[in-house]
Order: sequence, then C-alpha cells, then structure tokens
Amino acid sequence: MDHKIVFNKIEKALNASPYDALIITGVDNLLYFSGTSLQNLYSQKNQPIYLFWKKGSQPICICPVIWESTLREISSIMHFYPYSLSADNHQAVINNLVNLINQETAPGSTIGIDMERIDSATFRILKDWVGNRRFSPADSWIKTLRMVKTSEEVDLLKTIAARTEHGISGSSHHLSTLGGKTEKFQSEDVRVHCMEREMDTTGYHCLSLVASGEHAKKMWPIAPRFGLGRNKNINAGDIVRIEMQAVLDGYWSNLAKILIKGDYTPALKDKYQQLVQIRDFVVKSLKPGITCSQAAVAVAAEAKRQDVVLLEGTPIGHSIGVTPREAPYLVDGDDTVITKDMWFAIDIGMRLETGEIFRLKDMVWVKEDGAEIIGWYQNWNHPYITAYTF
Amino acid sequence: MKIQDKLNTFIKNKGLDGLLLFGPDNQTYASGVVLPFANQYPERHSAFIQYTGGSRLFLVPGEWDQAVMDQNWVEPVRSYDENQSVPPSAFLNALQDILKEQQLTTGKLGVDAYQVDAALLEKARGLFPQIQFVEADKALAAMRMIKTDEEIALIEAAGVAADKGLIGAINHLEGAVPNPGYTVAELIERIRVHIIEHGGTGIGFLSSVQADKTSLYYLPPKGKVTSQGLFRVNYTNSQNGYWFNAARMLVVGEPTRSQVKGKQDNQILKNLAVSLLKPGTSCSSIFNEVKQTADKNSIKFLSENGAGHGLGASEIEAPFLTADDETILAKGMVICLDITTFTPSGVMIQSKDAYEITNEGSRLLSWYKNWDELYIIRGFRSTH
Repeated sequence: MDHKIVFNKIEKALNASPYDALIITGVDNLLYFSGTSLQNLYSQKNQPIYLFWKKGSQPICICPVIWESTLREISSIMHFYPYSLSADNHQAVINNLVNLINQETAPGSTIGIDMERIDSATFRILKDWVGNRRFSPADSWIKTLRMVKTSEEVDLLKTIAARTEHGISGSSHHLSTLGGKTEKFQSEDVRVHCMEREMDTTGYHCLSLVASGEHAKKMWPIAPRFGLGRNKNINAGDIVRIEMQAVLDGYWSNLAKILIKGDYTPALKDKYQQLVQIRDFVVKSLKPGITCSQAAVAVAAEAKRQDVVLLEGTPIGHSIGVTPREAPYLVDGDDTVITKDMWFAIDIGMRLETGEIFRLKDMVWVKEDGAEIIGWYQNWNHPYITAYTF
Repeated sequence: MKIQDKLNTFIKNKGLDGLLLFGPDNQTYASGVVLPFANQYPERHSAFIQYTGGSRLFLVPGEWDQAVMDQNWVEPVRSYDENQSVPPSAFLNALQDILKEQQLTTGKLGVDAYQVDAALLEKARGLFPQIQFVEADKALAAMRMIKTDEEIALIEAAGVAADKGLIGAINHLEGAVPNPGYTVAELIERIRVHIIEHGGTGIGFLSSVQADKTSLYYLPPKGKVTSQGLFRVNYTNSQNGYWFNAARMLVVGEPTRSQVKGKQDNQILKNLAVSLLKPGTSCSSIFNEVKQTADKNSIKFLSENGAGHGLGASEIEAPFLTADDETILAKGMVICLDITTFTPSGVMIQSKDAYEITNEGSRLLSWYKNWDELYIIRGFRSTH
C-alpha cells in the first residue's frame, strides 16, 4: 500500500486540528503515522522511537542511530534526530523532544499527545521540563483518524482478509479424517499457507493457533506456547479451532474458524448454526449512524432471545488496522458512532456442553448501507469438515 | 535467593506497601508467568501485585486467566470482563476492588512508570488519592540484573534453541539457494519452526537483511535469499519468558577476502569484550576499550549502538555496555555482546552471544555452535 495517502490524510487532519504540534508515541501509532511494519518495537521498550510533528512541517523521528537507515528505507519519514544508546535511552528521547519543542514551537503552544500511549514517567519529566507549553490529550483525535480507513487501507484490508482466509482454507485441506497430524504441524500449515499468499507472519503475535479436542476447551492452550502447537494429535471426532493473525504492509488480519475432524453431528450443527445466526445479526447491526454500544446491546439482547450464551468476558468485536485489536470496541459503553469505512473483526464464541470453544472471527467492512463480511474463500456458514482421507 | 523473596526485600528496603507492576517483562520476572503477547496489545491491561509480606495476585483480562493458571500459578488470579466498557475502565474497576479488599487505599505502591501509560496511572491516582505511586523502574531494573540459577538456565536454553533453530533452517537452505530460489520469508519462518521444534516457547523478532541492503539493520521479509554474498539474520526467542537475542552472519558461495576480513574485525572486538567480562569490571570500561581498539585498528565500529546489554525477561535490558553505564559487572549477570561493525563495502556485521558472569570471568550460554567465522552456504543440488 502506498502510505502517502494515509500520510496526506494525517497531515490534513493535523492542519485542521487544535494542535500546534504532535508527539507520536506508542508503537501502533508510530506504525500508522510512518507507514512501517516494525512489530519488534513493542518488545524493545527501552529503545523507544518517537515522532515529533509540527503543524505545517514534516515529521521528525527520534530513534536509535541503528534504526535511522532502516527507517529512511522503509518509511515515509525523512527527518531524524537519532540518539546513541546509553544506560537511559528514555532520557535521550526526552532530551531530543525538549530540544524539538523549544526549537519548533512557541511558548504557549498546544502539543497533542496520546496519553494512552506515552508512558507515565516520560510524560512527567516532559511536563516538568517544558512547563510553558500546553500538553493536550490527543487520544481520541488519533483514534478517530485510525478508525476510518482510506480507500487504500480498505483495499489492503480486503486483500489481507482474503489471503488469510484462503490460507486457513488451504491448510484445512491438508487434514483428513483418517490422517494423523499434530496441532503443531497444522498450526505451521496454516502459517505457511498464509505466507504462500504473501502474508507476513514474522514475530510475536502473528498467531496461528490450532486447538483440538481437550485443547479446544481453552482459550490459550499449552501456555506459554501461545499459538505454537505441540505434540497433541488432532484426533478423529475432534473439534478444531483455528485462529490466524497475520500482517501485510503493517496491517493485520484476525480470523477464527472451526474445523470438524470427522463426524459433524446434528447437535454440533445446531450449535454452529446458532453461532452463524448471531454472527449474521452482528453484521446486520453494524450500520452507519448507530453507536458501537447500541450494536453490542442489541446483539446481547438477540443472543438472550435466541437462548444463546456467548463467551463471557469476550467482546463481540473490535476494530482492526495497524493492530489486530483496536478501538472502537463493540461493547456496552463505547459510544463511537459507526461510520462508513470502519473495519471490525467480529468475534462470536460460545462454549459447547462438552467444553470446547466454538469461535468465529470474521473481518467486516462497514459500507454506506451496512456491513459486509470480507474475504470468504469458502462458505463459512458451515464449518470445514475434513475429507475422509487423501 | 528466590525472586519472590528478592521482591519482598525490595518492598521492605524501599519503604513500600507493595508493588504494582504493569510491564509484561516485570510481570514475568516477578511471577514466572508469561501472558499472551501482552506487549503487543497496548489497550489490554494487566497487573501483578505483590504486597508487603509476600502475597501476590494477578489481574488480567478474562481471556487470559486460564493461561496464567496453566503456568503453575497457584496464587489468586482475578479477571475482568472486557465487555464491561471501553479500556481501561473494566481493568480499573477491578483494580479498585482489589486494592480496597486488601486495604491498600493508602500508603506507597511501587510502579513501573515507564511501562504504564500516563492516562491509566492518572486515572489510578484519581481513584486512590491517598496512595503514593512511586516510580520503581530503575531500582527494579537493577535488581533484575543479577539472575538466579533458574533464570540463567532458561536464557541458556533459549540460546541453545536459537542456534539449533538457525542450523535447522540453514540445513534446509543449503543446496537450495540458486534454483528455484529460496525466499527470505521461508528462511526466517524455518528458523522460527526449528526453534519451536527444539523446545522454544516463544519467538519474537525475525529478520534477514540480504544482498545490497546489508548496510541496514532491518527489512521486512521480501524477495529471495541472495545467491551470492553476505547476509545477516537477527532474531529473538524465549524460553518460558526468558529471551535470547541473536544475530549471525552467513555467506552464500565462497567469501571474498574483504568479507572474511570484515567478520574477523568484528571478532577482534568481540574477543576483546569477552576477555573483559568479569566481576569488578565496569560496563563503560568494556565499551571504551572496544571503541579504542576499533579506532586503533581502523575498524568501523558503530559505537552509537553500544557493545551489548543485559538479557532476561526482556530482549534488551540493563546493564548496558555503553559509555555512560557505570554498572560494575557481578556474578549472576547475563550479558549479550552486541558489537556492530561495517565491512569496507558497508555491510553491517553483527554476531551476538550471551555470557553469564561467573566468579572468575564469564561462561558462554549460547554454546551450541561456534559462530566466530562466517557460516558458508554452498551447493545447488535440490530443494528441500
């Protein structure tokens, strides 16, 4: 995706905003503002990277020296304040920020900061050192920007949804009722099939979880081997939950599907259809003009009416973009108004009487007249049922 | 001393009434529990609380509580309902309940203030005006520097799995480079898979920079493995939450003299640094000696990147082999040497290894294979 269009959108919004400058913190914000995919930054917090963006100017990146050439190569950023590593890299960042604020803004200027991303200690020092500027929370402003996707982001998310879905479907064909296979093997097959469709599965939360039988009763089986699978064989009769998150050009997929190895009993079919009905109700509920909270309350009421007990504590969905899970959330209390070109990962789950978690996650695009599930390679109104043999 | 006891002593010595830890690495350190990709979800909050006297508690989203209990955690786990409201309301409500139950509504709580967002801590301050939240990051980092035997064993296991993972991956690559062309994505995925196959429990950073881009630190995995010349792999992996941080240099085909010299130059600095890893030496003095030797021998050393760092429940942690870190090495520290140099043609050379500081000197933890020379990949027979 050409990040320039997102960049232009941000620039335009900044020019119209009450902020004289922005301090961009938080890896997800950094990725959104710079157009990069550096998933490792989440885990290397003591070598922080910040952006300083003055209204009417180009953003300036504060980063370790070693990252500068990489960021020049893969991001839209052109200006850098690199710092040498030290025993206190936070302090190095703060020093650079203070210099930039003093050089680039006048006393009394308003500087927007995402208070949900800047760490408490850095913010305290910054306030102490630059007392004559007004730091204003920009959390909602940034969230609002990120929530509504540009046409290029929409196209990218369509591709991502389709490729990930295709990856899950493709890997499912490698499992048969009679064939033996471990969860690890199948987990790897899901990843590889996504990679074959040119998804990036590097690192951390690029998840390919395959949970079967007893393991399907847990949200995170074989902890701390999250999504790795191990030696458990996927047995005939097992219910298999497949969850996949992958990334392309910095944007994420987030899907979950059900596979039945063998006997799809009428009882299972009934349960699956309940899930499908609720999922369809969620999709219908996601209309421009209503709030996320209203959608969530309506779905909860519908589930109650249908006597379906959804997974406790798990929201029925959330947005998706430069992270696999972000605002707005389809929960009671999120008053974000749903608008055209928002994307959601809807997440409908229930626990079977035998304990397994049935879970369907789909990526949904909100259009002018309502929402649509994107990326189905096959019809997921039915679970994937393995071929008898191959 | 066990980590739980260390934390008790810490709480007592600092005059605290407890610790409230938000950072996933601090939580792993304090509990031995790894949360599912907690770093990667900035709007999913969790907390680890340890009170005076030693009792401990986890607060996590409902989706994570079973994962905590499955990691031999027998003390209380509280979960909150993410359906309750937008983050972090449900988390804060649950935290409020816990602190009230524990009668911890006044006093001093140590927090890792560099790991909690300003909005959240501000809200917590509003809920508990009588609590003094004390920034404890630096003191915690200092405590974490000295590892227990169990921590060192986990880092060593991660180091060995890292090597086995890379060897497995390049054994598949050897003989398969020219035709039809092995992709970078496949190479790094194979590193990941082989680490898992050798018992690794988590994979982090995965990168390989190739061909004419080898002056860069990182690139997304695009294109094919180079058919000629140097390339570098960088990756991190964990064993029950304890990390190894790897970088290795490989060459496809016969290396040139310049390439060999480039690696040897890096090794000169690394060997020097290894010889200095002993109790009583300061981190800054190691860095300074490495830099002086590089200058004296006209080796292009990226001094701005330091010469190494600690390893543990995070991929990069204190102490740091940098000009300003006066930390004195002591038994039980684990240092990852991370010396970055450039060949005359601009290829970035990195070769990282981890060392435990012992009574006499240091012990290599990533011992499975010696990487002091370039790993040469030859052959063109088949794909496999």
